[in-house]
Amino acid sequence: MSQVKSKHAGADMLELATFYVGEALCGIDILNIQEINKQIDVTVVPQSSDYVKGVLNLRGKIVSVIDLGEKIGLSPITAHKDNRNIIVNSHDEHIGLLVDRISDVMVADPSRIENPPANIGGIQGRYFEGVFKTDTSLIGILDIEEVLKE
Amino acid sequence: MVFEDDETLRMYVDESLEHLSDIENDLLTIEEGGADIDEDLVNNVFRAAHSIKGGAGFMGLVVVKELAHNLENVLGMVRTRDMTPTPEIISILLKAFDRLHDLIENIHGSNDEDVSEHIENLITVTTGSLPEAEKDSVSSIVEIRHELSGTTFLVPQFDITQAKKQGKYIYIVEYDMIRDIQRKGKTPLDVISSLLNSGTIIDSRVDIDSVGTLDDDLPPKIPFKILFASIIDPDMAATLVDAPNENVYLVDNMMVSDTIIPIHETSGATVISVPARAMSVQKEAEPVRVQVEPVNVPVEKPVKQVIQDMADPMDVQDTKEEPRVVEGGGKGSQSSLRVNINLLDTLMTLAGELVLSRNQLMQGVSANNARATELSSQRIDMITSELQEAIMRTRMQPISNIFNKFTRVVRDLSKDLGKQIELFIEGKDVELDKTIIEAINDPLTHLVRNSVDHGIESPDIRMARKKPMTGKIVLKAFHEAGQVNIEIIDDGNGIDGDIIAGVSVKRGLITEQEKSQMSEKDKIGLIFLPGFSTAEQITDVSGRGVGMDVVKTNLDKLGGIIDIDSTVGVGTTFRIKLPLTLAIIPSQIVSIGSERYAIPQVNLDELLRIPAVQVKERIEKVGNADVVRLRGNLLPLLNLSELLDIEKTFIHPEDGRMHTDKRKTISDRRSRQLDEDAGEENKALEREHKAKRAPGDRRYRSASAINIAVVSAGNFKYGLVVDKLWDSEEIVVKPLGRHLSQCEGYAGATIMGDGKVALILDVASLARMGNLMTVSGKVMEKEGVKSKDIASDRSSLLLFRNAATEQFAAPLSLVERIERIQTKDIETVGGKRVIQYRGGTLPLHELSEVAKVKPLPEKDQHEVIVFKIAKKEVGLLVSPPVDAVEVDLNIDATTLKQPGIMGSIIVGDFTTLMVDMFDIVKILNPDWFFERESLTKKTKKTPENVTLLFAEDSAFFRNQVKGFFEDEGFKVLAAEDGSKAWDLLVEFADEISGVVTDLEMPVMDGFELSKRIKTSELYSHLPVIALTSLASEADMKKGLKSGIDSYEIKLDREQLVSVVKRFVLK
Repeated sequence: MSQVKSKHAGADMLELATFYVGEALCGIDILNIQEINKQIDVTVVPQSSDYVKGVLNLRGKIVSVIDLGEKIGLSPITAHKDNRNIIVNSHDEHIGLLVDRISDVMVADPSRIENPPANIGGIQGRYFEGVFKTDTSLIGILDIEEVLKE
Repeated sequence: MVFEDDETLRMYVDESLEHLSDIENDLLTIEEGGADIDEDLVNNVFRAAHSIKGGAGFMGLVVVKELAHNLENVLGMVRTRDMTPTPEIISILLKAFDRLHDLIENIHGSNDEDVSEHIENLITVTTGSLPEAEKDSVSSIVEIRHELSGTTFLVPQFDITQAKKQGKYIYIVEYDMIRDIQRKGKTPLDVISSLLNSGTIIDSRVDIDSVGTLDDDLPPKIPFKILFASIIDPDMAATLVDAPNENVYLVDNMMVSDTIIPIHETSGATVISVPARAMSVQKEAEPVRVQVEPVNVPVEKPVKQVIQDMADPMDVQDTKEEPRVVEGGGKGSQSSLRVNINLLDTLMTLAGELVLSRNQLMQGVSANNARATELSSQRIDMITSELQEAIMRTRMQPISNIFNKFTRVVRDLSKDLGKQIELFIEGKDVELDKTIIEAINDPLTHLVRNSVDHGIESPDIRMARKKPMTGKIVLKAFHEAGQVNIEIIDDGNGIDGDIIAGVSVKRGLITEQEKSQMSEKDKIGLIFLPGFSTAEQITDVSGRGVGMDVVKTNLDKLGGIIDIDSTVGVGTTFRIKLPLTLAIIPSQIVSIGSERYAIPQVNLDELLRIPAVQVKERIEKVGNADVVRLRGNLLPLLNLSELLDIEKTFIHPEDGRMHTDKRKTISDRRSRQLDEDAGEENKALEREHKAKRAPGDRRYRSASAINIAVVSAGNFKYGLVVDKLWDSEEIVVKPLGRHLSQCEGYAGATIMGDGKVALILDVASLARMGNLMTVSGKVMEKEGVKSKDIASDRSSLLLFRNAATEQFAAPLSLVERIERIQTKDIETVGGKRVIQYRGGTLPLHELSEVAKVKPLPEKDQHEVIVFKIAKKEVGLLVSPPVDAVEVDLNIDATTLKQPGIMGSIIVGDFTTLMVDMFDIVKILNPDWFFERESLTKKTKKTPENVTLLFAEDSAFFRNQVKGFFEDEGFKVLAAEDGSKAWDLLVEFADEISGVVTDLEMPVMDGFELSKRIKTSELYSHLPVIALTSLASEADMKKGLKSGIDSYEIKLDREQLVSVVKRFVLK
């Protein structure tokens, strides 16, 4: 978190892009996100792990699309017109995270982010950097690197 | 105090590496020349060392400077012919240059490196060739002091003496980094290189001390001082060195203190590679003015002996340095690349045109002008291809980059191993993609080492084998069929397949049984198996655990293919085929369901489509594996959808919808079971099943034909069954992400024209996944054995009709061509039908003229099968469909035999009449054969007094072929198999003057029979002619080995008779 904070030294606020994986509301620091798109028509890669949905062409780059639900131990994302691909950058590689639907961008005060509990909505705590409570909801802030571990 | 300016340092490193890149070969050429010194070459090397030294002084790279300096000394003496470059000296130079190369590659750590060993060696070499009196000068340093400028240089006395000897003046030139260099828009390296044009730099230094600290005012100047030796007159000097007159000082003898400071502490100890800090300390202190006797250098030893003594420690060092020499190219993959300026201009122009075309396209689109859009899209298409090509060219590097290195590798290795080897390099200019050049470095090095170590024999063995003492290795690169071929040819030992196979059995890589079934080439190919090394004792050179399997894996990764040809005692050829580039590869697109896959063209042998009706005949099942018959060979099949676990689907012809295919394997539907256990019960079931099939069964539709891409992974082939075959396309290879790295079977991905991603298949991995690699030999061999039992002779037949209801066949081997003619073009001349054809007349016949068959229907056009009989062409009018099939020749030679018809055979559920073209021609044109008979009369022997032994298991062929010979007048002894033939041979040995044998026979086959005949003393003179229905290359080879004189096709009567006559009646 310290790293995230320092990025926002000026504003001192963290902007979270939030989305739903199943029923769980998750968030990622918006600065980690390359783009969000609707390209969910992927090329299936036979023999790959179950959580790899396939690959798609992102302006000439081959991007692996990962079913975020399956990856973090929930049920697979159900196909729906609201499904989105969140393209993040990890280890010099673009990776798409398939999520059920996108929610708002929230501004979070880093000082109000708490340590994650062992389990959020059926998702193991190790996938989270922390939790952020708003008046109405609880946002689990995903640790992208942990989520993307093979 | 390493110079901190990164830009300058990088330039220096780049430049120095470039200087060093050619040195190796130059030195080797110098070595070859021996006492006959090529001055230009020596100058080259000398200048390289010198420039490196010059720059190093400026950068504060003391160790580099020291080493370069000593190298320069030796080279200077070679240049002045004070020293003859013996191989020993060159070795020392080479190693020192290697070290220098290392230092420069790791420039930042260079000052902490210890190079004393090299320096010592170099000094020993230098002093060894010096006159006695001057020997001390190398190891002593003198102080040059210039009071006015406050400059002190500590330089070896040797340099001063050498310079003076050459009549040079010594100057101290002082530049101001700011005023004289920076403001004039120059770099320090420019200054150094311009100085090098007119003289030599003995020492150089940036006087940082005089700059002061940050607290002081801005420094007035940063002095850069150079001790410079040149033949330029003092009054010219200032102009030439481009420095203010008052900053150029001539060093006279007064300034050179007679103080001699020894470099060596004690005899044989390491040289003090005076580090920068020490230098400054020394400078601050009062110069030591004590005379010290130099007792350090072993002057009394003649140089030869010195070198001998050095040999030992050098060998030790050799082993630890060896890998570096070899891997140098691999690890140091450059991050920058030199590009021809013309090429860059071309790229610029193309980029410009691309922009223009884009503008046109945008205009066209916005104005909705279809014509303009089309035009500009064409332009963009063209420009893109050109751009692609030009960019590719920037990545192309000559293969000499790695080839040149091998001169050294071979030289060093052969010396170590006490062998004499000459390396010939051909095709240095062949260009390859940079990445490939880098990647083949290691495999090639391994192969060359292998040739040196295991290939070429030691001189005494070569002598004993009556080969030239000096072994020969040829390294060859050339373009062929859009690929780069590299060959490594040696005239050494060769590889003994049997030994390889023996070792493989011992290591459990193959079984004894597999071994016995392997061809020589397959056996040699075993060295590519992981865990294989034949080196009986592990030498330093090979056998470090890196085996040929690594070579193969590396080449596989590049999409390359390696192949070995070897003859024991004669030599070995390694043949490597590589794609020109890795980035864009031509590929065959195939699909399973809705997903497309790309198979790189290098791996693709051919495409095979088996029509639904033939699937039953051509695809068979052995154990669990499907195999297809392809030109007489069995090809294992892998079903891509099964392999990748893709749900098989098909589009049902009735409802047009996608259905899941329930069949487990291809052979599930209609192929015969080769399984011996399949008893009567199964067959009955099958019959029943067949009866149930309606003629319109989906499985017989063209859509359910099987598409096979025949691919080869190395020297192993298999068929990949796919749903659909598409076009061949040039694809751009893109890597797959890390989450897919565990998926085998893919070499990457590519983007198709519609923007979707297609995976690129890795055929070698697929074969492994399908367990083909390990068992392939087994499956194929076993299959071969089995099919031999079941299949009788297979032969290619041409099927055609006469009347629409009757099917006929003729051996394809007799057919020249098939033509379609217009009925109106047929002329009737002299009671015979002819057609003008290719400038001549072609006689036309139809079957009903000879045989009792229904007449040909009247039509506007006819198919004509052109046969060549008795060296004349004759056309047979037939009706379509004309088709070629490969069938078992189970000919019934009695039931339907009549003039012009040999017999009958069942092809595709039709009774088919086999046409006997000879008979037809004989009946219609009996005079054609007279000529031939009169010819044979002229020879001394006539067929009448010649007896042939003929072995053939099929009764039909036995009678047929026997008939051919008897028609010619030969006496024929026929046998049913090889063993009976042998008995006859023994019995009638005196009469028999030739043997004609079928190859595949029970009890004893044709190979065995001919081997027996050829190895026996009594009968080895007899010509053996093999009859075969399908002559595969492997059979030919096998046949030649067993001594077969000639191969003939069974039903090619003409040819067979003439060959037999040639052999028997000579």
